[in-house]
Amino acid sequence: MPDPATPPLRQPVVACQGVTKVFKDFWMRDRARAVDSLTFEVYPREVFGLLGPNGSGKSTTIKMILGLLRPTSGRIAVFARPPSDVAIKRRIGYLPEESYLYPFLNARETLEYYGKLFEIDHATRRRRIDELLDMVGLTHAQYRPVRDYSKGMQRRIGIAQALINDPDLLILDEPTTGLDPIGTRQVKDLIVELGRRGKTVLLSSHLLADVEDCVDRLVILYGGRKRDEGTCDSMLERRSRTTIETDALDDATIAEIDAHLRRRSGGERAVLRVGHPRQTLEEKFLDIVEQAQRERAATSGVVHGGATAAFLRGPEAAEGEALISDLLRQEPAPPPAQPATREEPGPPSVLESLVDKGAGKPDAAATPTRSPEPAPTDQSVDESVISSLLDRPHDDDQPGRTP
Amino acid sequence: MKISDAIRRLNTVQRSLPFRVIASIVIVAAAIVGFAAYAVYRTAPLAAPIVEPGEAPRASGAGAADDPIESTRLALEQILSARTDTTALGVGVAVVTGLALFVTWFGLALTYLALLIVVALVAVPLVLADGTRNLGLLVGGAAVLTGAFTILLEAARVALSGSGPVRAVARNVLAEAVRMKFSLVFIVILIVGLAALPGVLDESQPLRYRVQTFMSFGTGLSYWVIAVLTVLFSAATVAFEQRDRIIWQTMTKPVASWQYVLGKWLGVTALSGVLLAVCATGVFLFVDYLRTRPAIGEREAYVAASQDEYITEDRLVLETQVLAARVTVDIDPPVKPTDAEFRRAVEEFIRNERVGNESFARDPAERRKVEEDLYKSWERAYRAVPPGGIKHYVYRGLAPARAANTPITFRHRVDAGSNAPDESVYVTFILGTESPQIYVRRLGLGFYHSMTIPAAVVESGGEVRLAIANGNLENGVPNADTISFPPGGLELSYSAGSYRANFARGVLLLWMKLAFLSMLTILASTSLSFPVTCLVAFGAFLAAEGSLYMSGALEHFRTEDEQGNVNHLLVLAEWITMGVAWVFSGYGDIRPTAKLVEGRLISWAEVARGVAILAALAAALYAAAVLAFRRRELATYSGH
Repeated sequence: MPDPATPPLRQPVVACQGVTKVFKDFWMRDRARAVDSLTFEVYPREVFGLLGPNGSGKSTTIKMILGLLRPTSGRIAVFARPPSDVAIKRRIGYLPEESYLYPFLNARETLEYYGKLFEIDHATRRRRIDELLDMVGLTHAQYRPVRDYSKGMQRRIGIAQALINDPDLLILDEPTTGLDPIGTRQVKDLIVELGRRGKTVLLSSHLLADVEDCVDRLVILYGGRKRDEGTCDSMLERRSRTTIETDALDDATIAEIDAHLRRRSGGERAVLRVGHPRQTLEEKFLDIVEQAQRERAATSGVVHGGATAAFLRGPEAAEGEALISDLLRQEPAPPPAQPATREEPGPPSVLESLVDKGAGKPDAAATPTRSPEPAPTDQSVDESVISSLLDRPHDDDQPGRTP
Repeated sequence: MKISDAIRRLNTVQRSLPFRVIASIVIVAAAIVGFAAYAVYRTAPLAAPIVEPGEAPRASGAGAADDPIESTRLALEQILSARTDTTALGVGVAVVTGLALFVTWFGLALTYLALLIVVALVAVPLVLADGTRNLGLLVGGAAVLTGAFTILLEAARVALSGSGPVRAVARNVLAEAVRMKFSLVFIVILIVGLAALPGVLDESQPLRYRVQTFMSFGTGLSYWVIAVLTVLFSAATVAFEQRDRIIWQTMTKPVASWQYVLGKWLGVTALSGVLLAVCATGVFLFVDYLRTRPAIGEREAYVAASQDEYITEDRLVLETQVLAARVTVDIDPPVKPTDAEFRRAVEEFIRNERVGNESFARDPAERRKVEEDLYKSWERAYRAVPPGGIKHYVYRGLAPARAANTPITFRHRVDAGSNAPDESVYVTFILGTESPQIYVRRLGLGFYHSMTIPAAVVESGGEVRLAIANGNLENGVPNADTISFPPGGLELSYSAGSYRANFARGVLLLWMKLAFLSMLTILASTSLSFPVTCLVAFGAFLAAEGSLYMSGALEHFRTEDEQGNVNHLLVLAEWITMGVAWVFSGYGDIRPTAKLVEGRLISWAEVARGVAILAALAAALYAAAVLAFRRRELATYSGH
């Protein structure tokens, strides 16, 4: 008999159909229509984004998906089961918009507690906790009560608890809130890596960079209603412009290129803007921190987290950890963490090669084809709303960006 | 070597297997040797043998039951044999050994030993110094109780270890209890309060009162403090978790509502069980320590100071009525309120009254009141004996005492006039008919007195007949006043079990009551905020505890004024009170503390009935709590 919580192939992991949530007051009068006729689907191995400003219904939607709220109307299915089904929760990891943790437990006890709720055996639980604490950089602070943690440290424990069961569906509500740029980058790397390993991720955020860097597909919400849906590329790419990045050019060369363009297009096309690409502040910040860590500068805060926990990288990764460690010791020091990129996975490292071989998953190759059929785009989308949401001017004055 | 290195090394040693094995052997050996040495000391013959002047003890034999004097002597000897009883010592040694073994195998033997030495270094000088004895006892007692609490709590945590939502939630509750300030405050109050209690006992009081006071306060106060903690903590652990949204991360894991509620209840019940076990063990051991102190009139425990006395009254009452599990029987009145004869008397009385007052007792409530007043008047007359007169009474249901040849305690209290404390009366009691026992006693007024009578006075049908003469029948001198015996003032009782087993059964019932209270509070907190939950739970708790008093008060409650006008608000109050008293009547009847203090038997049948009632109530509340929890939306509107 098939597991009721296991959907057939291509069946959406999360399906919302015409979901509406109306909050009532004490007298049962409508107080707020938080979600209004929302329909979308999240498919297996997809990183899906819920984007919208505060109060747009993102968290309410997530709470309904998790069974913490019941929709006023409409239907929600998770792994083809209603959200109230306890069995499906074995496959879900959830990080709320704030880390709601037991203040009297320390980090290890917190992960122990949540691990026990999943009935994970003692040995596995212990190994995963060690790996997760290392991953979120809190091994050194694991015996301090959570109440003494900074907001960012609590956030990291929140992330660790969401991953303790190696979930098939990871639901992250504003995951980078309270995190420093290093933590933010780690979370984004983690999301990308989990997506590459075949996990389904539902990401809610109002931070545009978070969404843009990670998701395959997204819906944009405003006032509880869906305003747009599609892949990042399809929504953001501006095919009316082209950017070419080269080594530095002198004015004469630029003028020559401009003249060439005008000549070829009969005066219709020209070089519109010339500048030098800038490093982002995030990249600069990460460079400084990594330099400080190489110099072993002291800190009482979060230590730079380790690699993604082995159990999250695949079943064989954990078993071959000793071998990997040996191999890694023979390798030169790893380069500084690079910003996550969805398009080009690059050549696999020794570690990844081993993991991929063991896992038997065509992860790298599968990445470009992971996107499901794009959902039909709502033609009545209000472009000004989207623009305001994206907080991005319409003109092409962004120096240093490449399409 | 640095101190920290030494501590680390010692920690490694105490966690090693060889150390645990050797330490366990040492602990068990020390327990056996200590117990044996103390037992030898306790069972050593007295410097002066127990001999009643003028009468040498006769050997017991088959005819002892038929010989009242011999039977009485055997009964008294049985009481005095408690001096050499080492049961309490055995229990104490077993408890301490068990705790020590647990600590050893938990890898904390040296840690606890070091703490024990520190406490001893502080407490012993205080105990030995003048004026600080009570403080020393307080420090030592509190430390021992705290140690026992931490060990038992750890044992509970070990019992709840392992995977699974129910155990994980329950174990988390235990961690919360000792790490959150407000619950910790209650635990500290309980432990310090119990440790301080021996210091308030007045050593000039009769021993039986000291024991009763300690048992009453030790058991009763412990129960009430734990009950208050149970309500507050049950409410907090569920309500705060919802308020602070921590529950979101638990309920988005594979945790069913029934598992969450059960886990919370199990955790709180385990906590109350640990606290109750610590308090009960402390009370039990201290009561047995008090038992080894001299009673009033004794030169040492169980040895009367006067050569004329075989056993002092203080000791007799303590052993037969306080540290006992006795079944009590009151006189069986020849007329009952339901008897036709009494009903006819009531009718006649009402008829006579209506001659002058046509509307007399027309209302059913008024008629009921008339019946009650008449019966009480009859009962007072029945229990009164005029000067020089003789009254006959009968007791029934004493066949078990006869079958077991168990000595019977006759407890009596005489009232006369205004019960002047400097007055006394002569009363002659004649018990039994087949081999009647005649006792002439000079009794103070308004006090309870006791004496032991042989089981031979019980007739084959289980009856005991008592005749009371108001005066001294030996010299034929009557008293000047009428004497009377209040309800409970003519009571026979016989032992039906040991006090220790009775105590254990009483504590079990108290724990069941706390478990019920916890479920009641958890039900309220699934839907209500913390303050409202506390209000509801405390209201229900007080109503349940007071339901017996409510039932009694309803008998005297009147809804009309002197002119016969009905006050509808009072009618409503009466209905509500009747409803509450009815709902909690099963709970209210379970009063183990009162029975323990009075030395009355809490039978296994009574325990089974109490457990069944409380389990049924708790199960109903549990089902309601799960239902309420499932229907509740745990998240709230967080938008603008």
